[in-house]
Amino acid sequence: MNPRYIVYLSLLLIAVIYGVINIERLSTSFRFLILLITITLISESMSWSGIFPIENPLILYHILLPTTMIMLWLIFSNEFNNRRGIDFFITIIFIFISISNSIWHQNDIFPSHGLTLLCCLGIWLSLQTFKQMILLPTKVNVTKRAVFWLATLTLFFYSITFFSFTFYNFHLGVIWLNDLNFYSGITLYLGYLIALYFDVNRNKYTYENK
Amino acid sequence: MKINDIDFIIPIASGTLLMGVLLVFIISFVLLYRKKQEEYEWEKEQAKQLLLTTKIEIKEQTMSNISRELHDNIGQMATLVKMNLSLFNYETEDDKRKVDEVTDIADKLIMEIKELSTTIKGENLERFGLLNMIDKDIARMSRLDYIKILRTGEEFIPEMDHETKIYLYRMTQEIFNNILQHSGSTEAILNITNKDETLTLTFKDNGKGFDSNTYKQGNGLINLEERCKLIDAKLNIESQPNQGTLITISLKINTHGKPN
Repeated sequence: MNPRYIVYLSLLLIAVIYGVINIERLSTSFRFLILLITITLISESMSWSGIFPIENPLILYHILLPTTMIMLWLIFSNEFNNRRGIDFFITIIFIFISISNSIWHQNDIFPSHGLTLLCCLGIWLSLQTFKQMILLPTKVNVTKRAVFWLATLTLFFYSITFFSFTFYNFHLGVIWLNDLNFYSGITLYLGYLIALYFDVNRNKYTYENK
Repeated sequence: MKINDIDFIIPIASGTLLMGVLLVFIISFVLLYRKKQEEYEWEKEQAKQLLLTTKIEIKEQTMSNISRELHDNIGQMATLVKMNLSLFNYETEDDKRKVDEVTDIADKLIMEIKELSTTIKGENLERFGLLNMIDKDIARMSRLDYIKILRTGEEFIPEMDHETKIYLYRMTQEIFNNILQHSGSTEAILNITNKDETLTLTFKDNGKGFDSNTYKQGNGLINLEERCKLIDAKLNIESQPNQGTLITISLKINTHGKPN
């Protein structure tokens, strides 16, 4: 197995183990984040190990995309208790388009259109979170807020993924686009680990700033 | 790498641009967030102070009403009792002695009501001055015979605004009440100094004290801290078990006597 995969999967595994150990102390948003990382870990493990319970592995990505969209919405909407806003309708529309695309358009190929929508949703939700943070500031230092790391890393990861997709078909020879995706994935999960740490210890940091 | 190879230049340039935009965004966000955080803290502090000021104003108003009731109603009733006693027709010397005793008690009651009515009414600070009002309180508490209270230091303090005087006076009353109720002291001293444009009130007692490192603050101390904050005064409390308590309130006042 490629050492990169081992690093990547190990990082996901550490995040899942850390989250499960501290599940009682995690807020609802970060419990959904753990669920998302767990789903990612399972699908990535299956993808890289080549062990698929189904004949066509691409179907996994078609299922994974709307699932990730739902999870992202659950994570971000729970953070500011904003479940009925515009984010909800955008998520529903994106999920609908993604499923339609998987059924009628890209049903036997990689769902790149759905992934593009996922990137847009990730960017949108993280920007909305930044807006909420500005509207509802707290005493806690911004770099010690779990939601800051969550939104920042989500914004970086999905922007970079969107960017690399822009060039993928036109610059297939550029190997470093793959490297970019790999490193942005590593950065995302390292950031999520930091976010999990601050969420587990949020009472400590809130108390410190009182 | 060929520099003129468009396959490399465009992704690198746009990638750098993207990262730059993201970094600028995050840095701007952090700066904006800090600004909002400061605004939020300021607004919260203002709201807290407004609430506290309103609470104190309501309390002052209530005390003023009680003072009026004491003076106009209960005080008048006590005077009426005394007048009726003087009209009492006694037949024996024993009756006369009993009536005289009750008249003395009525006299004391009238005096207590009058003094209590004076000391709880904040407006009287303008009439009698802060030091006189404090002296009245000290005299009233000393009559209880539980404790000996002395006031030393300045006999004159610079003029200051009514609000500051009220807060200082109420803090003095709060501290004396705490000494009476909780300290078990037999002696207490209030020293007032006015040096280097700083008015300092030092309260010292010989009571049971407390460990200031582990002591959980009650309403009394919290009230003191809040009132000090409102007039920009500094509060310092030093205490050790069985070694009494030393409380210092210092307030900057300018040459015209107004707090800075």
